[in-house]
Amino acid sequence: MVYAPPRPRPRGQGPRGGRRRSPADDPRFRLRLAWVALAALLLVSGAKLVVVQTVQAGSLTADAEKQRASRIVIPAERGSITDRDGTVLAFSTESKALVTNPRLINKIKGDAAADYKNRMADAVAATTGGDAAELRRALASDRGYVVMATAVDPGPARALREQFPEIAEEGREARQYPNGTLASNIIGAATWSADAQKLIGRIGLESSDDALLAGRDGFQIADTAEGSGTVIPGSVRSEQAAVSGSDVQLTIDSDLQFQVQRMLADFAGRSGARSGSAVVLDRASGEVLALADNTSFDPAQLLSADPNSLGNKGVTTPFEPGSVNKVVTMAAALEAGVAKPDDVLSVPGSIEVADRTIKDAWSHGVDRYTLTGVLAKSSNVGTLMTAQKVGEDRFSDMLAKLGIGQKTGIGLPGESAGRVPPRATWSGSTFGNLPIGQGLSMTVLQMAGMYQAIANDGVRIPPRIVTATTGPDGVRVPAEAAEPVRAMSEQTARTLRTMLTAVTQSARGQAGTGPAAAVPGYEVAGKTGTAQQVDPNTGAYSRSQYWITFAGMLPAQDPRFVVGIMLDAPRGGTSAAPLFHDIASYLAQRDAVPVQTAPAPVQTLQIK
Amino acid sequence: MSTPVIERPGSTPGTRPTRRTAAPPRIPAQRGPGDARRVADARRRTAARDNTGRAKFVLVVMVLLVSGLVATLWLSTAAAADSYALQAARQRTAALTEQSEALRKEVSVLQSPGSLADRAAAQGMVTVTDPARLVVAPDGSVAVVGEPSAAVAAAPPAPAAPPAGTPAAAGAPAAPTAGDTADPRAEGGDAAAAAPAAGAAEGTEQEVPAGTGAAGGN
Repeated sequence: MVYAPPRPRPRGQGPRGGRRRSPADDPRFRLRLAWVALAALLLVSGAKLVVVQTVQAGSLTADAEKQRASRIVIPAERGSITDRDGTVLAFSTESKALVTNPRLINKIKGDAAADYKNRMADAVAATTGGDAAELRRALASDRGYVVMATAVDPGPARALREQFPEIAEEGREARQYPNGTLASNIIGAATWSADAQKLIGRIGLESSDDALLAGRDGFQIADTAEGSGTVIPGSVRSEQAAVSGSDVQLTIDSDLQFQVQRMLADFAGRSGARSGSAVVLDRASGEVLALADNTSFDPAQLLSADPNSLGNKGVTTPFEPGSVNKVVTMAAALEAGVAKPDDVLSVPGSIEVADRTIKDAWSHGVDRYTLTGVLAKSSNVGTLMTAQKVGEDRFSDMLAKLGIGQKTGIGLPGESAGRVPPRATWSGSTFGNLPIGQGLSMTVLQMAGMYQAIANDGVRIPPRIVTATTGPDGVRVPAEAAEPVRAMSEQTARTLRTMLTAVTQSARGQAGTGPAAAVPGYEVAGKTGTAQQVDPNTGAYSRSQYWITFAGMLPAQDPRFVVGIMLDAPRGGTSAAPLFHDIASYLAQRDAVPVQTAPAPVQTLQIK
Repeated sequence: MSTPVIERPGSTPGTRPTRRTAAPPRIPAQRGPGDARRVADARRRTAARDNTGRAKFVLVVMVLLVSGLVATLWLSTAAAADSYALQAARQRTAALTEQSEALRKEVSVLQSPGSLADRAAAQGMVTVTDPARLVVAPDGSVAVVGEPSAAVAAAPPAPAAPPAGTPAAAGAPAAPTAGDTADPRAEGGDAAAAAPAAGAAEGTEQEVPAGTGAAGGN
């Protein structure tokens, strides 16, 4: 502080003496004035201090926080999906989206902007494999934000950014599906969501298990240097680490899945089928080894995929099974002891049930078939005669025990339970329909599950597709096992398997309906099926469109695999048995199933 | 009391006569030369002693300060150098992570069944449908199971999608509600589809010849 030097007083003049006695001349007065002024200033400052520190403290702190503190999201890595051997079916990688601001380039480059942008578009297209012309068009528009590429690897992205400083990167997690269409119907797809700023499962398992796969994003509340993501050291106030998503291991065998998908697509294409599904189950555990539709999509190209190929029809779309369902009648009859495989039935060409007449698929007079023959030749009349002996209640019980009309709980989205008319609503003719597989519907999975019970000595294990999940802590948690259901006695199941081998028998005069399913060196048990579809125009059963089915197991006596196949409206005369043969033959080779040298005994189907 | 009084400048006369009698006054002239030196020496000694003590202290503080400064400089330099090393290491980690991710991606694509099948086919390999097998019995005899035949290249795969003519509604065909569709004249049975053909052949279903299958191709 600078003080003014005291004014020189006139010599000889005492403090009390003077011409004027203005109070301003009095130093004490001036001192007091200064004191008062200072005190007032201090008071004002003090008051302001109190106001700032107490009254406005909250809002000011909040404002300051807002200015510098930012909530930084730490993204959690999405879990991977693997097959039963650990082959990766879906995993996540770091990738970059390249964005730019064409308007800014116009401003910076002036006249050279158009040429510069074209060069940029060409370079980006060359790196990412995009469409250069489309990129040029996008860049030519007068916009402030253009996404040039969505999933670029970090290395090439950095190179591009160094070449063109106007390109900015946005970090994105990219989902990789290295196997392309393999098992895409099961896995589904996850794509980047701009709103959530993370990968979101859109369909399939990626969608239904999204919470498990996604993990939990972490966050960090810290001060950042203005306008950038740089955290000021030591300013982290609150932090929560990200929890990575769990890895999901499926029961699918990717090699088998690939083969089944290819064989099914090939066969469906050749037979002109509208669609088709196939499933392979492990006999002992009920695990799904393969589950395929004839169409599949590439999850990496979800947006451009044909919407019809996105579903998982083997699980979501039920159909009427046809003769495949005849095993229910046979199982119930054997279980109740009302029939034996070598019982001989005099089967007429048609039978009347309530108000309906049901015929066999081929016209014949009264023929004498064994019970095995009724099943192997797929006689409707013989089956209904046996069903009459079984009775509605026992048939309905067996149907329920085999899991028809109930969801399997496989763990895939959109599973259908199929439809079985409730027991109370059965009319007289209903029981003329159900034993031959019309008037009720089931999915391919349920159909295969039914045969799995027969293959597994009568114990049905509902199919499962997830083996285990591995949490972020690395602990592998096996999936909850399905509750086994005893559907029939061991003896019944064994007898039924022997009866089913007759279906693939081709002995002269004693041939079954599916000899094409036979695999040389193995005994195969299975059942062909044909069910009429409902014509949407007439509301009645169509005479030209059928569901062609096959369900079987290999090897017949000690089965290891259960296969279910359904083809929707293939050309007339198509049987699914050759496709079963292809799949079964591949399974036998691949898993080196021991060959049976002794030929299977010929069973008597028809007594001439 | 005849002691001559020598007035010392600044001293008021007659103030200390009694003391002088008790102890001879210390007059500089009377003091021996050694005496003065002794006093000076003593003073110097004490001062020197004081000075050495202070110098030591200053030295210690200086040494401390300098060493502290050097340590600070050295530490900050080391920290700066380490931060460069850290940054370089981080960059290397990032680059290696990128590389491992890229390789992982490449490997997983290359070992996918589809890509393996394609490359096997490109090398002229053919999928076998029904191989003949040699079964060695315990007694050493060998039996041939199946018909040995040369493997042939599979026909080009049919398109995965159904032919264009089929209705697109196949995507989600509504399941016929079973109860409503019970047509009294409904027929089940396998051969219903193949009724004319299969009737004579004891229900034997023929495999679709490859020739007709071509209709669906392309």
